[in-house]
Amino acid sequence: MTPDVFLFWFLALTTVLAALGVIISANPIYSVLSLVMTMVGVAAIFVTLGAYFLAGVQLIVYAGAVLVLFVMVLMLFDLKHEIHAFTRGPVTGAIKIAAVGLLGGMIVGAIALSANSLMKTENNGIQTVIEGDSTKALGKLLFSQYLFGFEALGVLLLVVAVGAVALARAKGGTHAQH
Amino acid sequence: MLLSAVVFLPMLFALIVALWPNQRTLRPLALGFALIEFALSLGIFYYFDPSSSALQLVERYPWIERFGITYFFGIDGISLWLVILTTFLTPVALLGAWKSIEERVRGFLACVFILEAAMLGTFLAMDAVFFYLFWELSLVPMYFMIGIWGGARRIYATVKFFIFTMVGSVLMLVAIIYMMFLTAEAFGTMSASLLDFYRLDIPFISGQFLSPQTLMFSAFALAFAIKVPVFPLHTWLPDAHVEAPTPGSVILAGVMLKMGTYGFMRWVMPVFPEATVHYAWFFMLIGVIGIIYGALVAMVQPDIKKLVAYSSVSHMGYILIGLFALNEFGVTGGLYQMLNHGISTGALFLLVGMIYERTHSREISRYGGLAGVLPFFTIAFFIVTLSSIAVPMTNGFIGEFLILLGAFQANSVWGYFAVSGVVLGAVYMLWMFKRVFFGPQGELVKDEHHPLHDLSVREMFVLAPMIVLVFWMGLYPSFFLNYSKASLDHFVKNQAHYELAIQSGKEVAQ
Amino acid sequence: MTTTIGLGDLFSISPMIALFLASLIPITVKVLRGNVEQPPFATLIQGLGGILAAAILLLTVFVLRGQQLNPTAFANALVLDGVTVSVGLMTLLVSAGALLLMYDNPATRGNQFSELIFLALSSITGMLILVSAVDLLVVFIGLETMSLSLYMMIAISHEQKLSKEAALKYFILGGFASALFLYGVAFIFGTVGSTYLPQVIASTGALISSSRLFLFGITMVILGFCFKVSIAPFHAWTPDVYQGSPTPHTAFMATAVKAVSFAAFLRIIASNALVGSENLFDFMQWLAVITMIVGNVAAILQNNFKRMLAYSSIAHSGYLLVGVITTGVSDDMSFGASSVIFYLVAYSLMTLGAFAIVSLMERDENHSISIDSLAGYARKRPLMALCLTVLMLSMAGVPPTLGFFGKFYLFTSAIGEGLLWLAIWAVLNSVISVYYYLRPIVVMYMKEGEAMDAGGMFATRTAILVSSFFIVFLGLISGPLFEVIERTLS
Repeated sequence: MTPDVFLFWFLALTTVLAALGVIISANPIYSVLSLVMTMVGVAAIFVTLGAYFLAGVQLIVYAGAVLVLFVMVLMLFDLKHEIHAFTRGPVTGAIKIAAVGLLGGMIVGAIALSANSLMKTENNGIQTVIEGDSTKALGKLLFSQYLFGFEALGVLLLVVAVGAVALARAKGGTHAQH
Repeated sequence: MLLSAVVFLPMLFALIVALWPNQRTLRPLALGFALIEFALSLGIFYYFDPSSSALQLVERYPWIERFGITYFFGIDGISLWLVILTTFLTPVALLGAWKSIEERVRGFLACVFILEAAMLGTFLAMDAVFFYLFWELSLVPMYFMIGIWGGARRIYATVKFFIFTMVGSVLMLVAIIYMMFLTAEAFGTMSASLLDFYRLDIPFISGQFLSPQTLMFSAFALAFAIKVPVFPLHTWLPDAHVEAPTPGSVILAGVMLKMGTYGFMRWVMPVFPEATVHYAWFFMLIGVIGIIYGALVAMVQPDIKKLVAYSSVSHMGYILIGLFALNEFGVTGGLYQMLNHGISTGALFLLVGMIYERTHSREISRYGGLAGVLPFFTIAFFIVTLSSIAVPMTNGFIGEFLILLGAFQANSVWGYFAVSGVVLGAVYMLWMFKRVFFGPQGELVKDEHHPLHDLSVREMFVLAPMIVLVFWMGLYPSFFLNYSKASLDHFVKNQAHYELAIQSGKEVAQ
Repeated sequence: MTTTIGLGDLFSISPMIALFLASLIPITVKVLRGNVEQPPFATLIQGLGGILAAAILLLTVFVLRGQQLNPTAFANALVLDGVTVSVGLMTLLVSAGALLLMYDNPATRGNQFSELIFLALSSITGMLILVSAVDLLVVFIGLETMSLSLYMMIAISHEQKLSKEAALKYFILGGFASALFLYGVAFIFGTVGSTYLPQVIASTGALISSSRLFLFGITMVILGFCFKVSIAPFHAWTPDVYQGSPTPHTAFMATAVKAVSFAAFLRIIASNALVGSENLFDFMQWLAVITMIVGNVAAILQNNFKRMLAYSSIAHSGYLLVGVITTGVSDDMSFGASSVIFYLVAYSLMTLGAFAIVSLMERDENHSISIDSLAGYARKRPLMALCLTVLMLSMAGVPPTLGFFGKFYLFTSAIGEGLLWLAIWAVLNSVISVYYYLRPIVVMYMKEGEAMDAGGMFATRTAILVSSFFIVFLGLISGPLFEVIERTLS
């Protein structure tokens, strides 16, 4: 058990457990905090892979901006009502756990079955794209080979922004008064 | 050009009729159109050469070149009289329906014309996909005719009719596509032309159902068997016939059923010769079963129209055994009986429609003693009954006699059983006739509040040509058969290796 | 490595740029007017103008650049071949139709119409990206742009409950599917070393049998697509989302979204990829069969017209999947691909017309149309009833409509590749479908009732008439149309 392997398994388990926590918790605040934990875990894995820029972006944008926004919005609600609506008893709880277990079992099974090929798969002549400073290489790629995708994502962000505002202003919705 | 005109002119008529503003002149206009179409179809005789067994008046243009699908019309001795039957029965049906269709008349007339075009298309098309197009197209107007203007259970009847027929057709489509690929393999280019299908040599392994020829034979045969209809696929027929309005029944029984038997003659037997010979016994068997079953069930029907419907099943059984006897007598008789059945059953439905218009009931038990009240009607009905029973001097006799000769020649066992059908046919028809026309007057006949009137002038005009034909076809069949003789001879002689030529010099385009 | 990006690339994406700019006009105008909605007709014209400009530019770009051997743009991110132009033009056409429907329908027309048009045009931009993408990441971006815009379009509808539920369901399940897709892309990248599609396809033959990871990746990609085009058993969202969304959006989803998703699916799958793995081949055949059966059988049981059309579109996805499989196993792809695209054209026109009729009948945003509520419609509006008849018969595959020829070409290509049983299944399913396609016709013509549409709505009526006309007209000239499609693809 080398330190790398131990670190990988620790971070992976933490991330997966936190992700499970997101969907299993009844209290929305706990969900969001678990989500923060997931993001931090993912960022840490990025660090172990040498993608420092991505780790930084992950922490700043996701954990820092997006999730803080989530928490702020959640603070505006009366969460007792939401918690109560979500915990409906042992049966639903059992179903939740069963569904997660099924999914988890399938994934573990798939990995176990492929364990042989996973071990044997060599680097099929894939050169590591990034040598040395990954951030610089990433920047180069974004603006040369993947330029179109990069710009198109800008359109996507605009769409989301306008759509979110339109949605917020729309009359209607399940709680709206007419 | 003539064949295209014959097929597509009714479509034009349908469009005009659908948009015609004046309600009063609508029906005479439609009748006029139908008569024009009939006259046009008679023009085929001018160009038709009875001595040739080749395909005549051919029009052939490439349509979907990618798949070798052509716009291909052609006529020969086999399809000639069927075309004439179609164009003859349409004005008769329209005249017979003068009063029975009261509402949305435009739509009805448009349906009749589109149906006529589709039926003519099936008889004249010589390209598989082109044929399939018309075959399926004919379902739509009939579906509407039964569904909108039909009787009480019309929706059930029409949906059953549509889906039942379509099941067979789509399997036939798969077989057609497969055969197109076979032509590509055999001749280099893909073709959907029937003449190329004739030239194909499809492998046949006797005794094994999964051989290509047997499978495709089954697919085609299924589609046509549902249409004929052969027992046990006949269950759509009684409902459709009974629920359809009178003109619908006339066209359905008179022409549409013949599309099935024509399909056997044109598309199944020549294309799959070995399978035909091998499985002929099966078709003879179900034909005989159909004859006897149809007759027995007809006997116990309380409703006249349903009785006539089952008599159709019985009669079509005769045609089937005539065709599958695979000899000169049988095939000739089969073709002739197709025409006879069109005339006699068409007339029967017209007569039933006439009495229904008067009393709004078709129950035999409520009739009786009609002969005293409606003498002319009785005479007409009697003549048509005789035709249906195949009494000598009527057209039915010629057809059935030839079929029985052919059946005996093929295998005397079938002949014995088929003859019993003749007796049964006489039984149910004459018994029905007795119960309706003779004996004490039934409640509908005695009713003083609704006195029954004998045939009107219009009705006489409708029935007269039918009666004339009954005797003309019965006493002078050679007039009709001479035109078909060459083609039928060619059909029977070359059954094992059928090929059809296009008459030289008569082809319009390639 | 050096990549050159020049004006030529910009010209290649000019349709998308045109659409994007056109999408900005309505909301900019709204801002300049102080958040007062401009007349809906003006917004509609701006939207249609954008689509028209995109169509013209697309055609121009194809004619000028498409003749080259490898007309790619932006360093192999996009390609401008026959699939792009044929599916792209068709998508633009049906999107224009959907826009007409949005203009008329009470659930979508209102004081947020400008935002709606913005979102719609953005979705169409995403569609164009998706259909021309040749790099898996760009595929994902196109997919997401298209879908996210659509989720929000559904959510801002005026209807109260069903549309919110539909939007949420679509969002969650769609997000899940996109995640699966991306997961698969990651695995493919890991084994192939690139996300460039031709390279992936080139390595497929070798990798699909040797590397389990690659097989897993490509399966995930296929599953993601199967969700998007509602292949059973990933179809469960379709009836609820189609029924709950406002009808114009349903029309949009059922036609344009499905068409471009299938086109992208075709690009990715339709190579000799399927030949390498027997399991994958069988798996996809089973999916097709199950989809057809589920779609057709469930549609028979429906009373709500929109829901029935939703299940019918699931069945059509099944037929299309047969075409995709055929393309995958064939040596010469252009025939199979042409039949798929031809069927997409037919299917889009039919479905647009059918949903347009539903939209026509909706009096307000909470009005749901059941099949029985069509009773007697033929007397009130004979022309519209006739159009619906033509559309239903075309969907059932009755000659001589375009739907028949679509199915004919599809089955021909399937039989040509030896997929005989699949063709027979498809054909039998066609017959099953006849039953529920006949029902609206029966009810309209043969039952008594007081059905009436909400008068006016001329844009929608135009859409219905145009689509019905094309169904019949294109059916008669289907041969030349098929050849045109085939020529653009080869």
